[in-house]
Amino acid sequence: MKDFEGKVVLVVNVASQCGFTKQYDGLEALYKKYKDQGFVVIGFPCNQFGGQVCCMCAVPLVSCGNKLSLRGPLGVASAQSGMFVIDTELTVLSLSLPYLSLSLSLIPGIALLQEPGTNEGKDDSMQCNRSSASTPQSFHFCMSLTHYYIPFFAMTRD
Amino acid sequence: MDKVDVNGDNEDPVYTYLKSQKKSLMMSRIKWNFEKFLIAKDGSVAERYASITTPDTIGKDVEKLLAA
Repeated sequence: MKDFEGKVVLVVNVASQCGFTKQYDGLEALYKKYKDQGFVVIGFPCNQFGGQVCCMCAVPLVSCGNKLSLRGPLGVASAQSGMFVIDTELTVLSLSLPYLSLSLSLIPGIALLQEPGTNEGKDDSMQCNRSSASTPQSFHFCMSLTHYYIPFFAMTRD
Repeated sequence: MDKVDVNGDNEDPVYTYLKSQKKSLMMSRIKWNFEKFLIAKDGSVAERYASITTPDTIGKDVEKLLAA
């Protein structure tokens, strides 16, 4: 932490599969704009919200690590297989069952919005797309559900 | 360094400190990915932003702290 003494620091708990990963671009822009004046962004990879740190999208995080002084690359996550991750997501789904019925009606729109193919130019989503090419589409839908709905529940829940 | 816990018994001490300094929605716990803490040069926690706060809106606060 000595490295950050006298600097303005932005601390972010990051995940690679979260709907908010679009903010990586913004964080990087922010960092680039102010780094010369003593500004640092530190990302803490955290897996506590929906198991969203996974091998499928680890690459953008690691590359961010170079640019944004991320606290560490997500090497550990690469030990996970895609199916394991999906399994984690489904567990999350079952945990949030009370909210599930509410979310179900909203899945199609969200899944459509978040299909990786429609997000061209976004590194992280392209990585997702490539790595999960063998994943059945339904799984992808489930994952979309957890990624884009649990945040709002989580924010209002407690 | 790999993944850290930001809530609970095994939470990273950095987060224990950050959360003790600023609450969000009247609660200290981290609600979701991409919550942000802005720390001033002297180490004090200046701001806490929700996950939905986009980085570009944080710029003006960063400028303020850099100028301080």
